[in-house]
Amino acid sequence: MNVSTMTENHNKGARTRAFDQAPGNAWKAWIPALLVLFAIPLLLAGNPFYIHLAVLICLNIIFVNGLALINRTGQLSFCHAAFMGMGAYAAVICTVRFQTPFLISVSAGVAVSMLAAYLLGAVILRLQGVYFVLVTFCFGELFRLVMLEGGDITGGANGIANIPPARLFGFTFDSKLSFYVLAAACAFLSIVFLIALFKTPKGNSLDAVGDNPDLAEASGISIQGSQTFAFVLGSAFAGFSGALLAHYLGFVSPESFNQHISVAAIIMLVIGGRGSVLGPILGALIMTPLPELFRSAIETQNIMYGITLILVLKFLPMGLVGIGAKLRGKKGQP
Amino acid sequence: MIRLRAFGDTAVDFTFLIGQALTNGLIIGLLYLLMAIGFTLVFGVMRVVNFAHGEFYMLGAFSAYVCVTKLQLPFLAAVLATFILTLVLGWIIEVVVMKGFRGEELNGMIATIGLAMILQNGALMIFGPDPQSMPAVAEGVVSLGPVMLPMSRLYVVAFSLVVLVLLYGFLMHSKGGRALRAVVQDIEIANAQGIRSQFMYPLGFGIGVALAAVAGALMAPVFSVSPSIGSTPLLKAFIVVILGGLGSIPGAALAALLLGVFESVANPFMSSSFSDMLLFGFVILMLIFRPSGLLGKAGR
Amino acid sequence: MTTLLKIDGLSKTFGGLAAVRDLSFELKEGEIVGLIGPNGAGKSTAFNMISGSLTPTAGKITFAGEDITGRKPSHVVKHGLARTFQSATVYLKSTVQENIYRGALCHFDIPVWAQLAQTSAYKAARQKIRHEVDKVLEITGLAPYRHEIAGELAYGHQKRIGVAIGLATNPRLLLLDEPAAGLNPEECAEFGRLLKTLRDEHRISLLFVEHHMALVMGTCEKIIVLVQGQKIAQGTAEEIRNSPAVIEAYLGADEDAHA
Repeated sequence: MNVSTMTENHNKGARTRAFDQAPGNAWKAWIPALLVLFAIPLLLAGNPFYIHLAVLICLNIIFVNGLALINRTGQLSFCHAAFMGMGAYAAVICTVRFQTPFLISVSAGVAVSMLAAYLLGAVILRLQGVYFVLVTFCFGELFRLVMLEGGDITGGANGIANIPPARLFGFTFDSKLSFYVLAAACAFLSIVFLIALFKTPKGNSLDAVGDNPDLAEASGISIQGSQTFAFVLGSAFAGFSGALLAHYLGFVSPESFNQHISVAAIIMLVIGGRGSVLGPILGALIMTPLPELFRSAIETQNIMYGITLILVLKFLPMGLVGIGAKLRGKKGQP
Repeated sequence: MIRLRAFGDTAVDFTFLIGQALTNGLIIGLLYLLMAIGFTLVFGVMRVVNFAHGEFYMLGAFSAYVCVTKLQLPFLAAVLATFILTLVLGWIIEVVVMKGFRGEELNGMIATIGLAMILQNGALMIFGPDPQSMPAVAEGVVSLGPVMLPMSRLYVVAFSLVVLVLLYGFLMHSKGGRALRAVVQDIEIANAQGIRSQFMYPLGFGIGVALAAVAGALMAPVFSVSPSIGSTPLLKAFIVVILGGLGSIPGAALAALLLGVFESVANPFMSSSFSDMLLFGFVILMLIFRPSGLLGKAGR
Repeated sequence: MTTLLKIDGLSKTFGGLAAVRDLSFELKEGEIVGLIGPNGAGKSTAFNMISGSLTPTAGKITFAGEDITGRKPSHVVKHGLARTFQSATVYLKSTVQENIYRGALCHFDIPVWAQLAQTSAYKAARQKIRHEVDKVLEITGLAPYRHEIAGELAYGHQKRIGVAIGLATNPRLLLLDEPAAGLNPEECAEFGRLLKTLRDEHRISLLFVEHHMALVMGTCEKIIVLVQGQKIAQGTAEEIRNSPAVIEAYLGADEDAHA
């Protein structure tokens, strides 16, 4: 009897899933921790480079969060950057051509990403998993080509420059620090949204599809429905981060959203950890600054990335987040 | 982007252009076919989408380049050496890197991304980013009616066909090939029949990537050689596999040749990025109306 | 008794090879029906067509008066036709109760925004699901294991969880794919009792595909025998035992097995 209660407690501790907990208690501890994390860069406000990195980290958190959401239903999108680009281009075109307010532009960008994801998802999500990979990879390339050939509308290879900075409720986010506050707020909200989503039955059903699609389908959770939901919502995250990025950098071009960016997002996700909310945050936090800090030895660095990726897959399939779980698991054993 | 410009820029004869484009298309189609078959073989055995496939094409091109220009080997020997070297390399990589990911679709695929990064950046460190060119395999031009064919390209056709015939013979008539096909069809049944799949994984991976490398070696004298040349053939292999239907070799053959011909015919009339756009549009339409590929059976 | 499931001329060919040929039978409300046959007889193919994972080449499947031919499993199960899997198929990394909870989400149709906003309708629906989960835990005897991780439990328990997930979808008919496979005789007898309980106390009809003769003969009121994709006999356990066609088919298979 004693033994079984012990395992019960251990298992309860190891799980962070919705059903095993009283609703909305444990995770509230996250919020202060996140707020502290996002406040750290404000102490480095004197160094614009650090603030720049902090902005990129925040945008990448939103971006990779979207990919993580898609991945939790068992799919890996290889055109995540295309949806980022779609959000960016759509928002920029609204801002520059139609002089719409920032909020409207961003909404338009997100809406375009979601619509495209819905249409693409409707076509490919009824096929076997491997086609999803092949087609999303090709679609990412297609997006880049369309932007390249887009003539005056997209500015071709030169892209669109001189994008006015973000303006919200009469305040212009024209300094790095002010934009950081905006980006951090958005990243924070995206994290809280995901935490909340995966506490709900809907979130649980997304995980069910990721864990065992046949079983989920057989017990009434539609694979296609769940994957389409995650693909559309995840791509909305990408579009949102793209719209923000464009207004931060003041410049977009097709190469800002090529396949390397999609692959970078995958690497961040895998190294940080799939299947948890913390993983994408860790991934973005660790992997964003590295290329910026070591610009000189790019080849060595990429080789190191490749090796790290394989080692993480081999020894830490749950990513860096898995280290914590592993340690806890070892302690739990007698 | 790979381009095969139609010969004779001054020519205006339309039939000449089309004839030329068709022949060029068949040549490049054969290249895509080699890539796609190698890709399908790796997928069939490992259930893994090999993102490093294009990098083996690139390695093959460099291997041929080094063999011919530095070691002064004849081209045939260079291609043969490339095949053996990459087969061994693929074998080793399978055992050292991919072994842990056999049958794991998602993780195996991500591991090949890591592999691609290592291979491409390794080549960048060794060879530098600048494109290298290699002497043509043969001089002279053969004319077939109005169509002019440079000998160097006929060589590519001949070699590709020989490789395909050898592969067919191996898969259909040798013991190892039959075992490999059995593994591709169903690993459990193959195991039950006493096929040692432990041996088949590295063999399948090795042959698959060696085919990509041979495609690269054959194209090295025609195009320039640089560490970044792998991405386009990879993308084209994906398209061929989608159009042909995954696992269907006849479908892949048809799709590869059609793709090559389409690109060559479109080449004089539009930019390659525009023809790629049309192609992707076609791929999406295909998926809506015939998701199982050009020759695929309905169902799934 | 009304007809719950009606199979009419069901056929499936794979690349020209007929796996199931012109299969027809009926299942009445409250019946326990067994589908048996030697290996490769097309039992699993028939099973997968009825549950929606395979689309038939020809034929019609009617469940509770509705044509469900070619509908997806997630659609079929919402109408009250649930299935289990041959091997123990559970969410390995989740607790037992979360496994069942996911099955119970079948009829949960509160929109996402309402779930996020924690509306009172959502809270009420969630409460209802929790009760259903508790009920299923009791029926299947899994209550003591509710907090255990499914993947860490014994095979017999995992099979039980598979049935529990199916039960949680609140089915009128439960399709069981070789429920006895991999169980020891004791577990098997226990499983048989559970199946009887489902029908007697919870009015769930059962259709199962099975190899294990004792379980089929002891539990099923009607047995259908498939050989090489075709129905060769149908009747009670007694009738099947004495059917010359069945004896021939099974003796043939036995000789192969002992050869």
